[in-house]
Amino acid sequence: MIDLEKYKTAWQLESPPTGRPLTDREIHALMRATSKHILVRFRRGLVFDLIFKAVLLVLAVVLAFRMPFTPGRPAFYLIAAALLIGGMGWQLRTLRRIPRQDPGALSTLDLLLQCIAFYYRYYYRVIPVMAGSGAFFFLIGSLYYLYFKYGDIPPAGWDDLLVLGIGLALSFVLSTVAQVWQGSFHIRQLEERVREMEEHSLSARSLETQRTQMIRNTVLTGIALIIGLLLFLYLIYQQM
Amino acid sequence: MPGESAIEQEFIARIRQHQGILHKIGAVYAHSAADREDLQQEIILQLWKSYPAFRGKSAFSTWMYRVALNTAITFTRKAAFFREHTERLSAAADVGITTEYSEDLKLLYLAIARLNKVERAIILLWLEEKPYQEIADTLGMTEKNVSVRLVRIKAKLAAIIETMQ
Repeated sequence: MIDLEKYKTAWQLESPPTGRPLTDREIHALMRATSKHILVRFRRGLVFDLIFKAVLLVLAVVLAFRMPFTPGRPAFYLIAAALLIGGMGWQLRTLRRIPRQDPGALSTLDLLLQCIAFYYRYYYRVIPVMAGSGAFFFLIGSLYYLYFKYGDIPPAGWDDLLVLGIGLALSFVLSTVAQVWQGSFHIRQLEERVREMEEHSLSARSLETQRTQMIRNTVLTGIALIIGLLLFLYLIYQQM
Repeated sequence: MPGESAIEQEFIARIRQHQGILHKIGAVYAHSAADREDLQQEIILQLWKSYPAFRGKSAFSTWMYRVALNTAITFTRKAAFFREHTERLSAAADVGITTEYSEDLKLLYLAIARLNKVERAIILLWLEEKPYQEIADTLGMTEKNVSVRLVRIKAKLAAIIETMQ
């Protein structure tokens, strides 16, 4: 059997020469660098999407006042505005739930579990809401195109509605899938750390429960949003 | 530097004094020079953000180890998708081990690179002669668990070194 004490002595006696020493200026610059921590990245993404939704809301309001008036249109714009504002409210709520972790105060296990719990409780639920921005962008962009080309929404048939519906569904689904994949990729790494730390323990087993609940919640939210989207499309069709 | 506050100067001086911790954790946790830079950046950033809460209850180096290890273990990377499993075995090729190290230390770093991230943290703190209680507090384990795990990890490490010799 190898005696590790020899290696321990080498570790303690030898200074770590790896890498060039950082200068004061470099340390100062690193203190102000942008964090790549997953929670910080998520917070940035959420804020960016909130701004994007606010811009879409303004564009929708401007369009509402510029389009010729028809009896059903106010309801359509009100629903669009309510969906955007509701989504923004949900995102603001999620933003407040992002834990501000202090790695100097919490243990590694606590940091990992806090991060994983946030992902399962809030991150996956807000993904469809964030993905809705892409669908709204497509919808409002299409309406602006029609407005600038025809000055109004021309009468449309089922084929036009089908193209619009496919565009909306694709932008929504692609965005959702990409974000779920990205989140799952990060979470798997954190879950792996918990398993390494607590093999077969309660914390490690509870991860499986959280994962099952997350899948159920995401599927239910997705179904609800798709039904909402279909109703929304039906409403658009009624206006055309 | 002009425009720096007293607390910034104090922090920079302390980081400069304990840079060895950054390099050790970089060598143990990063697989490439780019990884090391990313990790170093994140550790300094987290240290700076947590610095106002550092009350001096423990030594600065103890607190720095805690923040640095927590950052290294919870740090996830986009590009690491395909490397996590394949590089563990070949991590030795680029863990920042220079010719300045003795043969024993080179071998030790190469062997540590084959452990998982949590095992690396435990062995790193053991090498730094941190008490079991401190290792347990840092990682969120019980003292008994640390003791049991350390026996297993040391045996695993010894076996790895044996096969590498």
